[in-house]
Amino acid sequence: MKKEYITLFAWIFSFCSFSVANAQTTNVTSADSIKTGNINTNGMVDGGLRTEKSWRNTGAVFTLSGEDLTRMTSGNLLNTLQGRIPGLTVVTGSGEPGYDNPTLYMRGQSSWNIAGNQVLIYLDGFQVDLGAISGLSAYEIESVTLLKDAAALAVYGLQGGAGVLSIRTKRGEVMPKTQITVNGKYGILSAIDLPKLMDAYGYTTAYNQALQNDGLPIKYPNPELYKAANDPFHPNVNWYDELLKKTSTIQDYNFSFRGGNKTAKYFVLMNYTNFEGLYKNADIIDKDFGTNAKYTKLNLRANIELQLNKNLAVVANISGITEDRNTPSGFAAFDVFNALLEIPAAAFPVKNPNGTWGNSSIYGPNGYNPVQLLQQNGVYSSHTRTLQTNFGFTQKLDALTKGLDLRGAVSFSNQYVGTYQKLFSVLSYEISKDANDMPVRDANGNVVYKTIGSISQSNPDGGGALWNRTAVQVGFDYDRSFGKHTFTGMVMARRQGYSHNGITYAVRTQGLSGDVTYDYDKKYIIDLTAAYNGSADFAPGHRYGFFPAAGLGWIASQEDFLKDNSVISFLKVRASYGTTGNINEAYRFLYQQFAISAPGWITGTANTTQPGRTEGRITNPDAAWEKKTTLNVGIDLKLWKKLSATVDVFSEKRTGILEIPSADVPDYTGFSLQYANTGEVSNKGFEASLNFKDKINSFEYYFGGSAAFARNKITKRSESPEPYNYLYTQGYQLGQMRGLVYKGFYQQSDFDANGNLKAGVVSSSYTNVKPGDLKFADQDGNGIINGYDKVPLNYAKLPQITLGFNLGFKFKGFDFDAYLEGVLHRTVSLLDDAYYYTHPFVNNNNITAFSANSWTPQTAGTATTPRLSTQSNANNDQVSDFWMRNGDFLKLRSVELGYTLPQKGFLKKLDAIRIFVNGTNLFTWDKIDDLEAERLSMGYPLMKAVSFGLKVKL
Amino acid sequence: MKKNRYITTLIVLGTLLYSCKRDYLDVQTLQAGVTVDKLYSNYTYVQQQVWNTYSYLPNGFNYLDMEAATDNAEVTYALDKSQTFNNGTWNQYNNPDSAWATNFAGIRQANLYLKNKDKVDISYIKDKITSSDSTTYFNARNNVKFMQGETLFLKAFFYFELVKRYGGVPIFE
Repeated sequence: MKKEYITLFAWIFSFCSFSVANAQTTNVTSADSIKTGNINTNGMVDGGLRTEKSWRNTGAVFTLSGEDLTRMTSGNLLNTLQGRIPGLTVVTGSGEPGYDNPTLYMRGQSSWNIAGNQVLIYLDGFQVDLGAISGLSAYEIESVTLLKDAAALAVYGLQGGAGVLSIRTKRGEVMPKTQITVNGKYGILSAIDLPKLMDAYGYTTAYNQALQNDGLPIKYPNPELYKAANDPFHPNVNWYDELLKKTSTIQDYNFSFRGGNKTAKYFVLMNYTNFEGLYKNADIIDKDFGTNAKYTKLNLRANIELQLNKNLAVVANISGITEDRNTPSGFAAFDVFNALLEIPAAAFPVKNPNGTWGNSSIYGPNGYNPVQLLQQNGVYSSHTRTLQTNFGFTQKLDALTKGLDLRGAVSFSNQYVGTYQKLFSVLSYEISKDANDMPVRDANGNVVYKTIGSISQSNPDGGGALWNRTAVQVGFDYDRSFGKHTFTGMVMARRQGYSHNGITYAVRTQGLSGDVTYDYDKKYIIDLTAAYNGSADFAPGHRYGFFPAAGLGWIASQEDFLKDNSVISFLKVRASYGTTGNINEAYRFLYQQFAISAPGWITGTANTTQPGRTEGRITNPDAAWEKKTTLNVGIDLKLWKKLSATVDVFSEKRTGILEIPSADVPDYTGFSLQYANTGEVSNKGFEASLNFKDKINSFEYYFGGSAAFARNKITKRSESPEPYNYLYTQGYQLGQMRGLVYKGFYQQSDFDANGNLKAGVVSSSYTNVKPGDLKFADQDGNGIINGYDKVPLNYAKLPQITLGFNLGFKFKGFDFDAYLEGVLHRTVSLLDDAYYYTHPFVNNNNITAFSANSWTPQTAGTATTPRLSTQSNANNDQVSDFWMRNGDFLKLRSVELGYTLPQKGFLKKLDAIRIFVNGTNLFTWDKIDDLEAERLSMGYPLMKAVSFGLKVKL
Repeated sequence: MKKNRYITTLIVLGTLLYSCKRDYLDVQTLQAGVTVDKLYSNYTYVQQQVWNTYSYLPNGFNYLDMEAATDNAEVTYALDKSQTFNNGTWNQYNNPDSAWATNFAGIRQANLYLKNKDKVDISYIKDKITSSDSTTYFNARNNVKFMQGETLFLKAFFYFELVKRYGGVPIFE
């Protein structure tokens, strides 16, 4: 008995001195039983903090097996989740190696505060940051579960409001011999779509046209000169070709050991990933001062479980990841891809005739020769070190009362990003040109150059982002049946601390979570869940909240009238209702007021600026978390033991959304109010998934689909009074696109002989319009286009509907799997996301295929873009549906064909050898001309990949 | 027997948990920032508060372009705020001359000073006098009186600005 005492005391000690999160050390999910979907009747459902037999689960959850994640070739684990989990929207980030994190949303959005929609990430039962997941290998993942409704989320209390994505890594299993698995994958990537630009001839002729439209003299007297291939004075440079390769590579190798016996079980994995960028000839001059984008990653994981004696089990999960990212110094990928768009083909040659770097002071960002910066400017390297550990124990307390366990766990995880640059800048030269667009020569006939830039070197050393999380939890589990009555339950005390660079005071929460589940005869299920927890962000006395939820389940297929039904093999109806909360790191300590610095005044003859100071925003002692109430009704169904379907319908309401309720306070008070919990958003939708699986002789096949829909509406928001109802955001969805309604171009017939607008034609408050400018609908009928004419249009950028389709087969050693993702009800704005692509010549910008058919008096009837101009045009640049595009798309996310070699001859000793070829993002269908819909081809392009791989099991 | 031992352990555990001294959620063990009390008691901060009140005065140069709303000037920039008057799109929701909110904000600052003016403590300046020269102290003492006058004037001026435009306006003390 002494041993138990020691364990307990050790734990108590750690509880007082550390802070904490949570772990699930018992009820180990049986590793092979997890299937996609949430009605795997044999398995367990992972709830992050708790696990439940899936038939007893009353909440809306969806589990994806780790195997599905291995089908996509990506340097970032998060991107393999795209479209696979109904209810989880994965908004793709950049395609740049190592800088490609997506953003996750559960059931769309329900708050206008960004952090209010942040999905919580749990790894092996403890919260981690998104950056800790992106580096994991798909081969160490057992399952990914999305928790969606109150029954599943109430245990998270004031942190569960935006959903939880719980990821479990593989664990050891009792096996006769150790299973050694080796995986290798080599992928070739290419850009899905790059923007199409005009060549030098097209640019110069169009530029002349634009100058004429502006009433200015032309700049290029002889555009024909730019047709020559290698005239350095009249260059025709395809900057994309100069800077980018057609393909890059990604490699991924890992081996793992998995096994165990009654006393010890283990899973050990080592993984190496190398992801190269698209930059061309990056180290042609010097390896050290010009480097391709590169992402190298090394993962180590050891998950160990020990059964120390009959009653005591301990578990330790340790994972270390090193990630090294290299990019050329002096530019971020976003800058360089903007520069590639901005610098015209006719701007300057890559190298001057005398061998020096070409440049120009007017095009693109000043002094920007992309090839020079790539090859001869240095390297920017960033080094990420991630450590995740958790340790837990389970002590059976059957002696006290049967079915009772005590379990506790401690977790520590952190990440540090350090950066280091080697910068080395050299001179570049601009060829001076005369009024006839010919090079200026000196008396000796030599070309006159202007020097740009300076020579310098430095190696700045910068610390980067860091975070660490500690968590402690302890609690009891209970599981016991009395005849037809079965009770399970848990109660858990948790502490979590989170700190990162940039915050003064740690984010801390603590509290109790618990649940009681009761079932009668495996037919009727009642699940009561609650959390009572508090956060350090609020005033003493207002820190704790109670978050209850109730779930009901009825397994109709267990009833006598359905029990032996040959069609319906499983039918469950479930419903849940409850509340969760959402604390927000951006709005902390609102109960305090300080004297803050404020505008001052200039005094005296010396014009001394005197500082000012004033009372800060008045306090809000009642400030609290945002609160979400969710009703979810679901059905799980299995027919003929082949077709399984799950449907969830939800209605949720977020209340207490933080905002400054200034509209309720008249200006004459002179106050500035503090953020208060006054906003409200409702969100409704459904998720449905369907899977069919069958076998004809040795031909096994399956197909399935899923659909998720979520539409939110702002129901209460403090907004300043507006003259027209459509100007309020209230009543519309979050992020609703708004703008002027495009009504064709101003034509010459709209103007009188003096160039003034005729009476009755709408004018614009933004500029004096000319023929060829965009004409808009005058919504308020006052004869002038201004902000009051901007109406809600189309949808938001975040899609309302995501679809997934999956099919595959297995036949005589061959296996095939394909996955399609679709996104509907999405609107993108070229004005916001592709400005340089759509705005020729402004600020010496380039011209692209977008403007190929611009307005001129001759093309007035057929033009698709406004008149060319070298000047910015505030009228045309207003948000309007002219710039909006249907953002729907369908992508073939993955397709894989594999062949498992028969176990014959010398292969007999191996368990399995499988070779496969795999495609990622091979096909995209969208409705936007020339651009890829997801990211509009801006920034580092999204990539498609073809990869080949091998899997050996020993 | 076994049972009792478990129970004892749990009681000990509970007691220890309970007796963790500091509340885990009290993260702000060190307070950073100037408290509101200090704003009105510290002489330097009080002076800054008065300067802040000045900042609500109309700053003529910032409004130079408003001349273009009259016949005196024309502005070529299409998005200049004076154009709202020129093309007649100004209304009660959109008035580029934000005198209403600005002057009332200034009045509130003046009122805050006048309410708290007696809290200022300049005795520390007196205590610092080591020579026969007390100018610093006398200046501070006089300035405390001046600030009251300045603030009263500013408040009156803000009201004047409002009354000029709107006629009768609510009075705040």
